[in-house]
Amino acid sequence: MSSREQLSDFLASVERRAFKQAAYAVRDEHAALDIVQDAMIKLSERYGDKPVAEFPMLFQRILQTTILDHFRRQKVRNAHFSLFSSFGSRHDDEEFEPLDVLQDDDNASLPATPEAALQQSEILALIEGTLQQLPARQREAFLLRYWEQMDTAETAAVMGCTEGSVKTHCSRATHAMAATLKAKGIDLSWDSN
Amino acid sequence: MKRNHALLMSALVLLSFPFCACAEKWTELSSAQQQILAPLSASWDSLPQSEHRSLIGVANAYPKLSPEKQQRLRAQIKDWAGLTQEQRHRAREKFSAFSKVPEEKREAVKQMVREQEAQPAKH
Amino acid sequence: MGLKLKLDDLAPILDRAAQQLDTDTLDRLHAARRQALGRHRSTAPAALLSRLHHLVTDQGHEPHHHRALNWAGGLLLLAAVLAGGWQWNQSALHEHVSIDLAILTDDLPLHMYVD
Repeated sequence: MSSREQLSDFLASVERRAFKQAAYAVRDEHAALDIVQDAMIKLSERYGDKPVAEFPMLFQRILQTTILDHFRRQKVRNAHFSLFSSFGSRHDDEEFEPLDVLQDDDNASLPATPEAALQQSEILALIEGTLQQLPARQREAFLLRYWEQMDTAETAAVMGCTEGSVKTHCSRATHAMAATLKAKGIDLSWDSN
Repeated sequence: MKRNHALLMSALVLLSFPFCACAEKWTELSSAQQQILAPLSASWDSLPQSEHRSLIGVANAYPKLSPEKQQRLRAQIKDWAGLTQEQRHRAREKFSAFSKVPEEKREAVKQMVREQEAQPAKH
Repeated sequence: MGLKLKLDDLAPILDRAAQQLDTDTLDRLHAARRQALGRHRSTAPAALLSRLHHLVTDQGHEPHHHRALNWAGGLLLLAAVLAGGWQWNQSALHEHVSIDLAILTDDLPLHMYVD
């Protein structure tokens, strides 16, 4: 059972990242704020008395479904509803994703830009840009794993999918990220596990 | 002092009431329920209590369904029970959201799905 | 040759972005947090009991019959809360059954709703 203070501390620790996550997904800071506010209220009202250790996963799940709700409302308003694109369901994996072509090994022959020329802010802009272009499920998996630092089991629980799906989504996201960065002379590496 | 203790004790007893663990064992189901839920007989004990209650409710509703719906239920119930709790939760959310979409759009999606399912598998 | 980044380096970079939010955004986030805390509901038995306890154990100097009224009031509160909670449990359960039934018997196959 968590005290109000523990809930407050948790929300304070997560609010900035939550805002950024929502902003990457919906690309609208105003809507992102609404989403975060919504998610915080839901956590507090529905799960405010849960043990504090459960907050991170609960909040992430609420945040992701609140983001999905936003898209669904958008879609319905735009009268282009599609079960597949709204919910990012299994067909997500079959979408043609322009970034995928960057995985082509032929691009490896492009010359690298001198690293000294790149500012941190440029790197950030590249990363954020890639994040915004990813399919929703790939972005979700990537951010949960590598920003929220959840393991595959926790991520799968938040996303409501199998650990295998999580690994697939993450793999595609990291490859897309690596391809974008490589084109600018940045070599992104990771331990394969 | 003593009066307050008594009150708190009775409150504790009362409070335990809605939280009782009423796990349904397979053998405690009626034979009608067991018949309908037959595909789940092996996995029943490993399912969470909330699912037990829900599945029993589904089994109780079965006799009043049309033959078509009964058949669909029988065909899918084992898969349903085999999902993770998270998958069921997500499925409920998706279904709920989908049901709020206007009728014609829902129909359009269903038609699209029927056409896709009719085609041979591409991989 | 090129700049080398590890996957683990991305989190601090993203954190830095998160630190760079403007004051307007931060104010709104803080306001959201305060609002959420205002709606903090604790339905745990201990919290209920403590609310009840406060109601019942008034340290005041009221005459005996007022104490009894407080006690009765406390019981009524408890009964109302329990009834409310119990109903909520029931209706939440009922919703589950309806929706599960609908999913299992709908013309769209089950796997459409599953990741």
